Amino acid sequence: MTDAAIQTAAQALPRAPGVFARLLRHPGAVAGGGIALFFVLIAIFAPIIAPYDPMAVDWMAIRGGPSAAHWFGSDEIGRDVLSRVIWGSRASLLAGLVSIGIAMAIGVPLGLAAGYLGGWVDAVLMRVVDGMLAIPLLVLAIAMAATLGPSLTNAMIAIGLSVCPIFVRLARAQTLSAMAEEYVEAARAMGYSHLRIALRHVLPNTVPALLVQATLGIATAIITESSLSFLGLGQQPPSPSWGSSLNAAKNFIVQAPWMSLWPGLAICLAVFGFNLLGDGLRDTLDPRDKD
Amino acid sequence: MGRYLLHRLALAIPTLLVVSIVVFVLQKLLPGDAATLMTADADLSADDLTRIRAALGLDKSWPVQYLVWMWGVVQGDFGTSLNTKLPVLEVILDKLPVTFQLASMAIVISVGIGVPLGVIAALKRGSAVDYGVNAAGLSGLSIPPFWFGIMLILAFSVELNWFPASGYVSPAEDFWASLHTMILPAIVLASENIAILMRHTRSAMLGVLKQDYVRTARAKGLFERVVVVRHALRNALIPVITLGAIEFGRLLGGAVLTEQVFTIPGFGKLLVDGVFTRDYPIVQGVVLVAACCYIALNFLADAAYASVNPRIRAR
Repeated sequence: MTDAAIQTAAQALPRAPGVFARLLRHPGAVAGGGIALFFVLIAIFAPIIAPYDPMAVDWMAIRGGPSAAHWFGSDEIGRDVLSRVIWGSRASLLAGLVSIGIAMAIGVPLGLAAGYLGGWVDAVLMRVVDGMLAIPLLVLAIAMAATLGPSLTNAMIAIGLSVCPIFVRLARAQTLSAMAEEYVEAARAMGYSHLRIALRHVLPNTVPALLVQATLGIATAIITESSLSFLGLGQQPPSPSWGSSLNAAKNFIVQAPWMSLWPGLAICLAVFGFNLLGDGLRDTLDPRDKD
Repeated sequence: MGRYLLHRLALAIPTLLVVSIVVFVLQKLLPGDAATLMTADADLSADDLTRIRAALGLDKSWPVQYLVWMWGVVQGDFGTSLNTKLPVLEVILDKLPVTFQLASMAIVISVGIGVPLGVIAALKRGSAVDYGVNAAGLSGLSIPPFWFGIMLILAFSVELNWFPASGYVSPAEDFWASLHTMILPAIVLASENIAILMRHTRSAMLGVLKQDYVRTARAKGLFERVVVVRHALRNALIPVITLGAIEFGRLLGGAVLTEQVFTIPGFGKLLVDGVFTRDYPIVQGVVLVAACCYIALNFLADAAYASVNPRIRAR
């Protein structure tokens, strides 16, 4: 056969539906992905979408209710709530992505090493993971954020380090299951180096489970960041963030309930989206969890 | 079973050790040490500070300081609060019952709602009810508890005036008033747990309903209600109850935000207040005690699980 003929033959073969195609047929994943994408777009285009400068103080509109000029109302110093919710998506999404990025950058290599090397490396790492997981996530994040000092960057570091043990444990479990596969044994028989086997043969096998956990982790990180900001340990005012807006709003529940309503709904929807997407990814990528 | 439990107990020791190291390192990473924090208001010379450091043992190396500190902790000496000058353990033990009550009420609510919902979803698998319960569960996981608290205050305290928005009444003082003030915070604290228990009950029930003994029970012609309750649910509940015990440990730490929103003078509020008054011995103490509660409850859950599971009991 000529090359051209082989190509035509290959194209004629019915291809198994790819992961992406299966994902598109999962209603939860599509809805969740849509919501997540919606917030990503809002965060990127915040300067264009937001009707007002989120920091602009308007003394004539202090705690004004929802109106044609301010759809979501205005806050205690007359700033537009809608604009602050739109800009606040940046802090939340950034915190979600960066803290999970930190957690994975540290957790995955450690988990891979623990699973691949075994022995005392594994024993020591697992005891450290057990110890860190024994401290409730928010308590650990609060203690770390308090130590590092209140700021969005430090909150992201604190959340990343607190979530990290989950990724160590998961990467280790996935590595162990990959090591039992025949292709890893084959790679060993071929005499490849340990580093090559670990990175080229074992690591790819851990990706689906890690992707699911990362998506669900972003949801957790967004809630945790807003909790820290609510307590005053995250994004510092006057910079807009959903959690710190709620911190100010809780003092005006009676006079200006809209100040509390919208940032909270934004958190719920964003977290719901990532949770839905994560559940959908799990159904599509991880056949073990199916009944 | 004895050997199994001993093994579990032995695993708890390194876990506690790691927790203590994390807490110690956090303290050491703080800008300034105990000496500068204690004397922040006083105008002292460098000489005085050196003497205070020597008196506190801060001139020793980190490992030595850790061992000295740990030796105190093991004996119940968690240090003294920088603000009130009271022993940290005393302050914590004073606040713990408040959070304990809150967490107990929350666990009753979450089991009472989460388990039946999970069972119904499993029995009506694939139906609209199942999807509805699942969506509600996912929402429960997605609502930030502090915001949920604010919304409940708005609805039930401000608008309807059914429950107080904040405060605490000791059950020893007035039992019903205590339940009444704690009901909204307990619902808030339970919200995430309801969802977790519901999802686990559902998947545990689905697993059990596929078992041969359930089919046998049905084949014997037993009523569906008997099959579900006596054969399926009783087995499905074992892992769920274990999870409930572990969740209770998590709730003690998770009460931070709830107590903050409802201004309840508990363990979680102590942590936040400690952070903002820079009372680090308190912060350390709370983290340490929260982890100890979690580890202890985990062990109890293991023991409970082992005592009902014949495969482990035989060991």
